[in-house]
Amino acid sequence: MANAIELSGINKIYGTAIQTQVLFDIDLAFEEQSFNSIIGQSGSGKSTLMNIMGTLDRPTSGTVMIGGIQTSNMTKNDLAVVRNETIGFIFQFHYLLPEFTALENVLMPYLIKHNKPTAEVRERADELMELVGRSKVKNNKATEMSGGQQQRPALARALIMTPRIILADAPPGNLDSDTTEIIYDILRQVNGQFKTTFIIITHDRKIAEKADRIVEIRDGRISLDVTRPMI
Amino acid sequence: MNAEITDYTAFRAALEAMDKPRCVQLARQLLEANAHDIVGLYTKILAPVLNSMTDSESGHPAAIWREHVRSGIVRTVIECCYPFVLAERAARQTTADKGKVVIVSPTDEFHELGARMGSDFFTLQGYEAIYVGANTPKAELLQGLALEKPAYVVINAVNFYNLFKIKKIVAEIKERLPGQRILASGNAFYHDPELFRQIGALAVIRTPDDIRQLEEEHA
Amino acid sequence: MSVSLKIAVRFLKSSRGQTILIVLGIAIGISVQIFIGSLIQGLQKSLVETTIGNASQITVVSKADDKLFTDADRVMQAIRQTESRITALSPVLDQAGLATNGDETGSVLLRGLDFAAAEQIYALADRIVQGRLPSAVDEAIIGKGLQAEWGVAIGDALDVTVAGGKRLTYTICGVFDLQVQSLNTSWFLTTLASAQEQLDQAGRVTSIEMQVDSGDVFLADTIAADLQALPELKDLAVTNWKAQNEQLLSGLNGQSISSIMIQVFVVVSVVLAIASVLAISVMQKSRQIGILKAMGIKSRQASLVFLYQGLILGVLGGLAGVVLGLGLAYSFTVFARNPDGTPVIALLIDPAFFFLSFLIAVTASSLASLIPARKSARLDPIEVIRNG
Repeated sequence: MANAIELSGINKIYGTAIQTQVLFDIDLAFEEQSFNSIIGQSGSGKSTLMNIMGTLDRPTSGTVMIGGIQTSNMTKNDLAVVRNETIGFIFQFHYLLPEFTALENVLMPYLIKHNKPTAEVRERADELMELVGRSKVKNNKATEMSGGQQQRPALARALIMTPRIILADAPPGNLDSDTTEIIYDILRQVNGQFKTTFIIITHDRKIAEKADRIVEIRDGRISLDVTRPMI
Repeated sequence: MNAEITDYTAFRAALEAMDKPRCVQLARQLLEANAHDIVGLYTKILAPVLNSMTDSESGHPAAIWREHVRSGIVRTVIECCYPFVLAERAARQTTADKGKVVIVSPTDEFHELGARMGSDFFTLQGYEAIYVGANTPKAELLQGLALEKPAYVVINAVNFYNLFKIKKIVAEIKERLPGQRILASGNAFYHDPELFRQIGALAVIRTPDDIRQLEEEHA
Repeated sequence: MSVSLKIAVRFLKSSRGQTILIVLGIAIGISVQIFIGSLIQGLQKSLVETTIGNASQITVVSKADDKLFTDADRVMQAIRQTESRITALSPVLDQAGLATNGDETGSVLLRGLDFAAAEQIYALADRIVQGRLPSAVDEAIIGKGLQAEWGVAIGDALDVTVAGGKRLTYTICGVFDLQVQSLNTSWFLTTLASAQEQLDQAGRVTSIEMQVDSGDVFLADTIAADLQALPELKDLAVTNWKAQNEQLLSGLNGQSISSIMIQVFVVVSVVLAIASVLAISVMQKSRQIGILKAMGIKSRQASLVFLYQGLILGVLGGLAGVVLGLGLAYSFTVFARNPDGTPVIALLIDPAFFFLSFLIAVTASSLASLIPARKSARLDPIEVIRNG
């Protein structure tokens, strides 16, 4: 199976006067359709790694291939297109746009590309809201939802463009474990149904151990990279 | 071969019915009749039956409940085999003079039947097996090792997430107790032949042969 | 509707209080600008009107010693043919004289007017306060200043002695009020035919008085220069009001400049206010911009969000400003009135000026949104994602 994301020789150094190296020579690839998690203490560099994988941040050195395409020489606009079409993000703090309803948030990546939603994409947005079990609140503004309630529309939004890759940063551990588990089942279902590659960054053991592969980042290096045993 | 298959089927049926007396009785009969030795019973009947059932039952609404009950039954079977373990060791004319082996699982590792069977393999090989068991806190483990000074410590993991924990434990043992030989065991290790090295263990132990091979290499 | 516009509208709607405040700010600024502009323009217009509205704006006079010329009709025809901006053309025969009423004597200017033509300049029909305009050879009208001074009544006869000792007798048939004291006490008006006959100057005039289109009042000097170039006027002199009112002109000029300065500063402060509020709004919305960028919005789209906001605020603020300005102007003319009921100052309500102010509001707020738009384009999503 081809790689959805391939990092090679990634170094990331912040600062100019006082330099802090956050990532050291990371070589890491994730297969298409795989379900992975990245764990590590806060400050380990795992979020930086995710931002680099999502083309939100550029590495100091090294290359990032998304779907087999080199991203190092892309312009900001090219990268915006890659993010829009290829990557779905689920951020740590939900990050729905508070000015819009849940459904409008779900449609937003599509609107960014096409300005106008078609009947088909509206239907798809409805289906996704159904899939994440939030069709009842689809017309609520994000400000009218709790953090936990925002999480599922955020997932639907990440899926609207049928991205090849979903990057999720720590679906929060502060939710009760039942909710986490439900979200997880949804993610798994999406993984099976849409063949989406998942890379989930978390501290939460319950989440991490459900992945097929766990990569631990420690002090900016891969300290252990294990796959689930086949029984 | 035929006999083996029959034994397997009979035990599986009993375990499937969750018939504890029958399971214990069957195991004892097999050992008494010398149809199997301990290793044979463990590796050809108990472990495969248990695994096959876990697989076929995933999806059952009470799967975990049933798995726990069956694990309990198998555990009873294993404990009932202990006299036979000692007898077999005596018959092999070996004594417990190779030193101590501590068998332990880290916190949040609750699968222990494999480790428990493994401790009997060490006993058969002439070690004083100290089975500490599942869910052992790291601090306790370090203290115990310092006290017992075993020849080997075997750290067991079935859930692959625990590999991360084991890596840290291994690093700490090496720092605090230099020279302590550390072995890995459990399903989390078996699919990838390099994993034990990555977590810092000397070897991975799956069968009695692995123990013998270890002795040859590190004699 | 583009996604940027959609987001801009939603951003404005979601911080409704802030939006209303900015719109109100723009509206007040623009309405003040409109009000000041209208006020100054109205003030200047009424000042100019008072000064030259009922006076000759361009005058053709003779260069000869006797100040007389004969071919007035030919000259007037030539002027009519070449210059369409001239609205009134009136030949006049002037003669200084000394009027006597019993014991009292006063110097007057005997003016023979073609009343039909002069009407367009002096509007005498409306300014007759007693009696009527003269028609017979011996009839004349005097100003209300002279009438009051001498206690003259309609039907009284007055003598006027002109240069050369000739004594003429006129019956007063009316009293006028030109609202200028000096004219009201000195002008002694009779028909042109009468003056020419009584003064033995048949076919002669001393000047041709003209007014130009109200929009071209300030072009009187160039029109006068054009007229001077006509061959028919080569022996005549053309003067204009601007040459005779330099002080007034420089006063008006200074007023215009200070008015424009005030307007510019009002607009500048409006621009600064919008720019600062929008700049703050970029900060407030940086989270949203960051996540939109993560979702793949391009820098151009992100900056358009703020340009659209500026444009919308400008249009709303401009419209509200025009309405408010109109209201201010209206209430000023309605409530600030002289005792006689006329407005203190007639404001000039000029639709073109209002439209210009509206355009200024739109342009200014669009310009003001350039800085936040640039900021938004440059915002790095990683800053937002990393800092939560």
